[in-house]
Amino acid sequence: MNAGRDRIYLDHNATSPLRPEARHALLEALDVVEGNPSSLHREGQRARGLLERARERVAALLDVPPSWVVFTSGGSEAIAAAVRGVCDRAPRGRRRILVGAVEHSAVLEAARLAAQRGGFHVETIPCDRDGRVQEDVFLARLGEDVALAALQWANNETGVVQPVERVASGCRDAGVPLLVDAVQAAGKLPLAMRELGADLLALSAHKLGGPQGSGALVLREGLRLAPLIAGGSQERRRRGGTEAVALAAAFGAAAEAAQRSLREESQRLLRLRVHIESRLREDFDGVRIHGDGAPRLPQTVNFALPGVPGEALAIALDVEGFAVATGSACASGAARPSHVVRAMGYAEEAAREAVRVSLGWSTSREDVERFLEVLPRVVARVRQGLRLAREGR
Amino acid sequence: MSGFGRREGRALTAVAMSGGVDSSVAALLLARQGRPLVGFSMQLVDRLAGETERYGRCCSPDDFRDARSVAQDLGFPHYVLDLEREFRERILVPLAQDYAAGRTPSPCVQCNRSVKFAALLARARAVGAERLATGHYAILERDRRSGRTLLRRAADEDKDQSYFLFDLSEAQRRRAEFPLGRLRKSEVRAIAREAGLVTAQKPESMDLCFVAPGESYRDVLARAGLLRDDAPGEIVDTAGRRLGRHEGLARYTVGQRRGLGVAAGRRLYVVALEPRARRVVVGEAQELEREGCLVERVRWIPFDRPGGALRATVKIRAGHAGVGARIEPLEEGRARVLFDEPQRAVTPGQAAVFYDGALVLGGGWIVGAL
Repeated sequence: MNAGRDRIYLDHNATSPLRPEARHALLEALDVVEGNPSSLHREGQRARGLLERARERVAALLDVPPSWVVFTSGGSEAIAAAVRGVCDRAPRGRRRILVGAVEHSAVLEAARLAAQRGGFHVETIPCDRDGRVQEDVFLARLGEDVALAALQWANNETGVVQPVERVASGCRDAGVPLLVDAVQAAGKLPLAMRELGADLLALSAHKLGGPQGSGALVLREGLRLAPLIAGGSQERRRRGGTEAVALAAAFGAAAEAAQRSLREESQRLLRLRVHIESRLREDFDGVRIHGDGAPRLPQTVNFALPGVPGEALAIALDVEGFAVATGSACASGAARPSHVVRAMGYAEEAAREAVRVSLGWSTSREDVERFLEVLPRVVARVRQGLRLAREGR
Repeated sequence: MSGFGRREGRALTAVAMSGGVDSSVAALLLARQGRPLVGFSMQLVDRLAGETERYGRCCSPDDFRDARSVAQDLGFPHYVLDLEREFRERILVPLAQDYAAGRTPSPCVQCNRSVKFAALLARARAVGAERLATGHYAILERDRRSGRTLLRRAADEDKDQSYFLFDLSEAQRRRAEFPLGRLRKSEVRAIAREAGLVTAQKPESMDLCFVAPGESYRDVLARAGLLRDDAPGEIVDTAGRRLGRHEGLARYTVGQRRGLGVAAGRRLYVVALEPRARRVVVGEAQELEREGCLVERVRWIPFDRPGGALRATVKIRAGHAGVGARIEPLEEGRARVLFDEPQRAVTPGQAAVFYDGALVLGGGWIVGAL
């Protein structure tokens, strides 16, 4: 579709457009990298230098030593490597996996796969009406027979921030490795991984303005993990295969840019989010803002208008030039009732009404104003179309 | 940004795109008219296809990719819609019920009426599209005098799909558009080739497009958890003599010759299915012949209902050549259809569609033979 000035992009939680700093780093690396970072020669050393610089920048985002960072092809690979790696090395007596009910499908599916392969039992920890995983339940379920616990830092659909601190400290006390999916939180919240005490953490470059195809698994010092991809000594034997140096360099640049502007940006975006939400409440009777009773990311609004299918609204908005998301989508892009909103206790019909607007570094106040200006007319149009179709006219 | 659902002041038109050559060319022809378009593909059996990817011939991820690529080349947006729930409720469940009741359903007619020009049309309307175009071979025409939307056979007799469209309501026909109705299939292929459409060489999609190659509708119903316990029963001849046993009525259809599993030293056909007695009745070819049929839920197209009995050419299944008949409207949307010559395999569950030349007068659903 024609991306350009006539388009307003409000789907940063799916992919945040490449930041200029990342673009610059990517192009520069493409020109500079001639050798393999594992090679002994000068060309290899130069590639290695770029890679390690990138590693430092990603590590700085989390306030951890660079040696903790393993570059991967993205968030899903990091999650798969973490789940499989921990489960493969889990002592025989640990056969339970705890996951939050609103985890990303990458976590849920990786856990399901582990259950199929290794006889693990997956237990889902419910969330409340606001989409916040119930920490008391989580903590009560911890025990010596738990191989792995997984809890996202923030939810991709609602932006709800999960009680990772308390769960992390509970996991530490119980000796249970904790995987934190920080894909959505990174670059949007200050993330001090060491302070948090999580053992494994997953990141994705393109959610914070880096390139698609790059991510990282961040591992606490001393954690032993079977590699997902064997066959080389790269990434300290934790991930085989020649590193995507240029992508990592761009990831590093995006991470640095995100971190540098984090404080001002999160305030700026929060103001926009509050503005959107107050206008939604003014303009639409009965509007639901999912997770509005919980702490949330500053730039995610997940809302529902009763009787308006999210899919229809998202398509109508797209046709008008605005990119927003429905709750969740499958590979074809078809909208599915969101498992996140379902887990929050809403019926399937209500879950199908969810629409997500997510802002980011490239979102201007004017973008938001134009969106808010057009939205009531698009909603009216959708309602009218549905009503006429229902009446057979 | 211009107005809602409109660009350059013209109404938005939705195109149903299966990823096949026909719907691709339909879209191409509309795009060449400069019409603002939005493409939709229907996801009907994605979850049912499961991890083994038993997709139908119409709606695999490859087909969606082709549809999207055509839309992208032609410069309009394309969306895949999840219509699995509607498809299950409106097509698969009735399909299972029909088979269990000894009827041979016609799901394509139902799909046009209750999925494509209902659920899909509603979603198209919701995003601001006024009409829904498809790659069907049939002609729609506005009748100035009556104000009704008439349905005619396609110019290409071999490809004509008017049979599958008879059960659209006036409101549905008014919102439908068939850009291929006046073209021959060979012309459509030529247009696709010249335009370099990725779908130009794709094979035809057939009946029961949701069934994967190498599978039967039973496999789909089984995966959907809709296959009823199909009780075995007796195979008898028309005099009631026992000839053998069968594995369930749903495996048989009137007119079927193969796979009966009875050796009688003569060619036998299924002449009737008796769901109450769970019997399959077989007989010789001439015993298949019937003088007429009773139809229900009759729909008339050029008028609300005719003044009295009328003559028409009637097709009693999609591939039927058609036979002259007298149609006598009865109460409660029923009609008696009396053939000029006896017809073989009058099959309950199939549609009987009435034609006056190329004009579709209407049709109804066969309840039984006369």
